[in-house]
Amino acid sequence: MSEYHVASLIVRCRPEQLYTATRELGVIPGAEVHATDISGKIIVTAEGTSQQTIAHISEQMRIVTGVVDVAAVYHEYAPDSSSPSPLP
Amino acid sequence: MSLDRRQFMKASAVTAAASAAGMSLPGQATNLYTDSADTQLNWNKAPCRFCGTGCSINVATRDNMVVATHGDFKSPVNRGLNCVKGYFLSKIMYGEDRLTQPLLRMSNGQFDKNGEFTPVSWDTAFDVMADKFKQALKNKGPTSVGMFGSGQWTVMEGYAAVKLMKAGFRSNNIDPNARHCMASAVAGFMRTFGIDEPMGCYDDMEAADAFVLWGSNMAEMHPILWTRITDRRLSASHVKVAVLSTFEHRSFDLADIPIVFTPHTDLAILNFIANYIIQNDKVNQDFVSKHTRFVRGNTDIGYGLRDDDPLEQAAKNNADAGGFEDIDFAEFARFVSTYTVEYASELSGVPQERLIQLAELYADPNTKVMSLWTMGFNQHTRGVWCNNMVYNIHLLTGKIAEPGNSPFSLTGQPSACGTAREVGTFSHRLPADMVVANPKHRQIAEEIWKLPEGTIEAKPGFHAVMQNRMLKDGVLNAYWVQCNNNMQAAANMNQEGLPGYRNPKNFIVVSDAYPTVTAQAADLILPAAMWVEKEGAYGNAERRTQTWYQQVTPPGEAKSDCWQIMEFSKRFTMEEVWPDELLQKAPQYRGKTLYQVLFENGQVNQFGLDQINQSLPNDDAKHFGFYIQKGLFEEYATFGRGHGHDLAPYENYHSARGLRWPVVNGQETLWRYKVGSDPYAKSESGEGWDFYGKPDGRALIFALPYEPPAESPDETYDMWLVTGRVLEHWHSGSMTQRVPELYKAMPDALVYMHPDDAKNRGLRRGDEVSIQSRRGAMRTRVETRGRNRMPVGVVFVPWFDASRLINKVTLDATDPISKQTDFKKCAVKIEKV
Repeated sequence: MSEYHVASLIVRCRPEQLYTATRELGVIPGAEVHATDISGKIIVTAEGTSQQTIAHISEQMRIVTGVVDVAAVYHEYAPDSSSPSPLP
Repeated sequence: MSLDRRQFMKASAVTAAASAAGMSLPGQATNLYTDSADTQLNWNKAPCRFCGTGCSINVATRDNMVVATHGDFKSPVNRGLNCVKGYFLSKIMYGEDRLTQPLLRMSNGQFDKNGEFTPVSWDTAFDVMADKFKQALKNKGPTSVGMFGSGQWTVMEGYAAVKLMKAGFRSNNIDPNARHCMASAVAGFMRTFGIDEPMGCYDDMEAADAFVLWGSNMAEMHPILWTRITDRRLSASHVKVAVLSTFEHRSFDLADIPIVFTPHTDLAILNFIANYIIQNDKVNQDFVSKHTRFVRGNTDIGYGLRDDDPLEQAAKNNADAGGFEDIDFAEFARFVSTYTVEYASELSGVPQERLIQLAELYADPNTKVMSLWTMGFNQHTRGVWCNNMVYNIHLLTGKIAEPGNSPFSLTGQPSACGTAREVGTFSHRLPADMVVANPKHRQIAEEIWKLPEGTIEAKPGFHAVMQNRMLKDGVLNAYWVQCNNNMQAAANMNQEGLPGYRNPKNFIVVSDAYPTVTAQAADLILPAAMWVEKEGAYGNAERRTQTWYQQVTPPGEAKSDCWQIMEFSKRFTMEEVWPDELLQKAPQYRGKTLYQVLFENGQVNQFGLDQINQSLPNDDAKHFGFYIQKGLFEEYATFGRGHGHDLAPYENYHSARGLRWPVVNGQETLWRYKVGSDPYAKSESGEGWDFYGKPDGRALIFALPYEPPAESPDETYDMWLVTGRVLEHWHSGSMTQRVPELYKAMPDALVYMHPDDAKNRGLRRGDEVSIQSRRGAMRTRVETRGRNRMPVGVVFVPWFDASRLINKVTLDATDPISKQTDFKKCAVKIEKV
């Protein structure tokens, strides 16, 4: 049975690169930017079908230009037998 | 699952992150997250079980399953953050190959060392196991039985194990895998300060002006602490970060002073810094004259190899590796004076101006420095020296035991401090920094444990590396491994570990949740409960003790290590384990079982079931009929209370997010040795420092030289091999991902190397190669890119994965003082396959 996983992360980038980093983060499949702060903090979620997917997404965030730290916060998963649409 | 449900989960995640970041969200219903009636999740705290940071995690269960985790907002350690490793917490207990019943090697219904693993009952498992332990005890005595434990044991499990071995079986052959991880740090603390564990704490991270990483890749291995350092660096522009390593890794991204040095030359760099401080008149004379003492350590101390190794036969002082003699400041200054910037630069390959930048961080009296290290220092044939020498530079400048000035030894395992070190599960130790060799310490332990005088043996037992050697030599015959994967983790497995486990004279028991490489090399596998399937306590790197409740029940017949130890002890009568002359001193123990003497002693069993958390399961307490976790903890705590290791009453830890010992009058201690912040530090003036671990209150500054490593590259084996971890191993789920067979090497493992080294060998990225040493070989693939950027001449191979058995190649050279293996350097050659 497939699963739905969601996690949230606080991405820390160098403040002068906030704009470009936010844009790059937003195009990673499965990632979504929810809020930014001028100090360089960005709230992002990662969604996928396993914790490996989540880890992979967070790894992609880590290599975005200007990003110096990715801190995880929340992780939850649930069975996804009736998935309305395929997830990345 | 409806889309609404998903949106709800996502909103919970976003809200949690915003709270942790201290940010507000644009137009979001933030009240969703706290409404637990809707979520049907039952949240409780538990420390993370992955690394030594000691993050507190909120764990959600539904229908006896862990389904969600998030960083605990109330935790002063992680302040609501989790790390990517933490994402795997939810599912570590639910791997498909989880062990759920005992498995014994059998043929035709009988135990057979060469038989197939066959499911058996706990009764059968313990019958066979007890029989083997009794045979060994009868034939050869206590030194023929042993145990190998873990810094992932709970405090109570480690304590029960020490008691079973040292008091029950009267064998000191118990050691934890922390020997591979922390032993050099322990010996460093004991030599310099006389008390184990850091004087400072994580609060130093917000107070320091400079951070120096000496052989630690915190960005990947301690991500939450790295987040705190990153925050500090980015929010205060004067803050500097220096990163030292033998190759470039993730932590270099934040480095203002990046330093890649030739393996082993950190010794010379440390002495150069001491010399720089002296030459530039930056010694804190007042501090040094009042609080320190200068000594010269023995040199030419060997490499902890087998006695017949030519290197050991050539070494002058391997019999007294830890010895030292008094000198004065002038002599110390003369000793380090040869470590000029030119010499240090030539030896280390680091440009002179970089070395001076680094030294200036320590020398400048206005810069508060935090030094941090893990395996780069500790897994080093001169690891104890490295620890002593970094304390030297903090002591010369008086930069110690106050906010921001902090030499800080990080820890790899969740309870390497709490269990392995504080409980004293080492072959030479007893609880609260006491040692078996000291008659007074044995007497104290015997009194607390209600044992007759002479029960505890004075001679230290076999340490980790020695245990494997003694198994191979057939000296150690009945052996129990709990909560670790030492077959994979220990060096030189082909020549020592595996022949030891498979020696027909030996019976090997492995307790684990999964069929690890170690379990598969055993004769009997016992299924273990893990993490929140049991109640427990861990102690982190900053002296913080944390507890958690059992939140779900373990699968099948899996049982906690505590249950296994205590239940096993019921199989022995005192007459079977103690000689008659000892029983004559304690006739009341005649006819009793080991369980009755060790655990029904009026102390461990003094707290009733009425005291357990009634809304959560506590399978172990209910099985034994008393609150075993509290009983074991409280008996253990009597060792340290009033002696600088004070723990709070057990129940306090269930509400607090951990407390840093010594906890005196309900107050935790943040900075030890500093008068005013540590109740044990005393001085007439009411200020200053008191290094009370030493009889004269003075910390030791050690004159120690650079000495070469046990093995260096030569014409045949022309590359340095460094081993370590990369974050992917957590990602790939090393707790859940297993290989079906021990001997099959998976071809997709990686060796990180410099593109020029690859080119010179006719290799391209992705090529399959053989890494060969004088001891063994491993197949892998070449990686020339990625986050680990190797200098020419050095390759890196990760070890923390059952598919990459690099320890067939590594050398089992150890620090002669700490007996910790140096996994960071040996010589190899690399050829295309």
